[in-house]
Amino acid sequence: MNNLFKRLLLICLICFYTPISYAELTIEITKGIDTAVPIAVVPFGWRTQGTELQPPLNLASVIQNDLSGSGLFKTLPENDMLTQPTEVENVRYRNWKALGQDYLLIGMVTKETERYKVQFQLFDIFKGVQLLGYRLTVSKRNLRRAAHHISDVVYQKLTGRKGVFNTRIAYITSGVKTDKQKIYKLLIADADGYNPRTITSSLEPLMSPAWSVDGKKIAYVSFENKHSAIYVQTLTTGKRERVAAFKGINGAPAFSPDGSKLAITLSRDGSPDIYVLDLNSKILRKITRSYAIDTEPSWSPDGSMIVYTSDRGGQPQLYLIPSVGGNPTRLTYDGNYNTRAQFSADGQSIVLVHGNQGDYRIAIMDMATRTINVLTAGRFDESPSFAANGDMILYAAHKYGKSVLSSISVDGRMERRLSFDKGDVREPAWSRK
Amino acid sequence: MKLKQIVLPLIVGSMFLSGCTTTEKKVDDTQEEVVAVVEESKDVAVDGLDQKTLSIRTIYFSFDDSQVQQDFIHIINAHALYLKNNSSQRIVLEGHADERGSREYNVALGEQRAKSVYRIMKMQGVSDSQVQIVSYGEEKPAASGMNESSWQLNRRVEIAYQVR
Repeated sequence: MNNLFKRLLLICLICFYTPISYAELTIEITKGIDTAVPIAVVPFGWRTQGTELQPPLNLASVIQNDLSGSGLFKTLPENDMLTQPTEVENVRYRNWKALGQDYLLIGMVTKETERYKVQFQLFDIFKGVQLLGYRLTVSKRNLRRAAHHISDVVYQKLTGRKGVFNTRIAYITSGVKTDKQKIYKLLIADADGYNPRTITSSLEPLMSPAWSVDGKKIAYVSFENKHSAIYVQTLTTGKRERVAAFKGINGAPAFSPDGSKLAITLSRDGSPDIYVLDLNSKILRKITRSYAIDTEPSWSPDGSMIVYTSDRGGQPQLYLIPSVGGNPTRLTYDGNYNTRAQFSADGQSIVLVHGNQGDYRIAIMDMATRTINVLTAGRFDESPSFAANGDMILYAAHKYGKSVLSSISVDGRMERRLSFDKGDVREPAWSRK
Repeated sequence: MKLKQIVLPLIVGSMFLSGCTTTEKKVDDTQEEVVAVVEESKDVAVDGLDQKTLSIRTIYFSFDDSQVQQDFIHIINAHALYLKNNSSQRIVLEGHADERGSREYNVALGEQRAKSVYRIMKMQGVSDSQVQIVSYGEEKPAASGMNESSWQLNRRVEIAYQVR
């Protein structure tokens, strides 16, 4: 069984090993599907009054990485293209049919003084028709966003589901400085790992980053004063506010769907309990009242319920409680360790850490049937986070003796790994916008 | 901070061994208690405890468990006795967990471990104001391997003497 698994993994690696490297980050598809849809993304054309030979960004390459990284598409290598049309007049469907392509994307970038006009068209090779065509005008700074937007539009047209290529991820890194002191950082990057920027750093641990639903703020826990405290930081201004620094634990922040409240864990009264903090009035409401550990709250998308971890039954399991307080109901009975739940954006499922005989794996629970489906094979998988469209889950795993990020499709068929050159990367949080 | 924590057992150790005779500058700052400790050492010795016991400042725990194991109770008692007799001495009990499972749950687990140690100290008469508790969960492992030999070193409470 184990051998079979290894062989399958090897086959997957051979078939789908397509490393993409930025300065610090490597993305590899570790598990893909053979039904991936073939699509040719032709390098975009370039028009300028100036002397630049190329646009400031290779948009086609960004789109290729997005689409192939989703696992649902197989992009044609540029070297295999017989022609590289940039305008509809030059598209010959039979050329692309001969190459086994189902779809074709072409585009053109035109520089107009300080702005860039990006035009693109998607074709169905079999039907011989144009499926969509758009034009957008962006600043140089937003060319990459434009490329992700095109990926989103193509993804939605061909899969019927919203793309998440223009979203961002937050994560924590820890590395050793030259003087052997540890340094902890909270970073955010584009969903493809590009453009990482440090939000805050500390010589003491940082943990539990959480996005507001509008993607404008991040809450996190910092031990910078040798004691845990919860901060809320506004990304555009960099301004941050300390919202909880009580005696004991200040942890596990989670924004309410409307962004006005933060569910948190405090142990100021003794045992850790879930509280809801109103961010405007600063009024604190205690939600759970057990003598056990209650922590890791996550809001249902309508804001009415909170799922959380409690060991009130002797082992950590998931419970559901109204977000204004009330009676908790136990959600999980399968296995002796079910923790760190997060609701999907549609509220129909939760993702969680499922421990069984010393292995910790990412699982999905269907909220209607309450059945658990284990997705990952790792021994130390943790911190799962849903993509906004619910198609993928980002989580932290152990590989090569360090913590790396991985993402897996909710059907478990596609998986990719994001590993960074230095140190541990963990606690990924995927933005909803 | 790290350095101070390392120096402290040496100070405590040397107080028992040689009383005031040491010439180390750092010890000079604690001249006052040195005398008290030397007196106290007789009582400690009666209980079969010595400077060696006080130099042990890490209490280890079983997996997903915050009960203090029998083997460690005498160590906690020795520290409690020292604290009781040195009422201006303050400590931080740092709770930790191994790397398995979810991080915030491990913060809670680490706090429960620190509180278990604290309860034993309190029963020995240590004052609330002398003890502060902080849990780092799995964020500050003592050993980095992903195996039981590392994990058992990480499921711990560290008794950190605060240098005034």
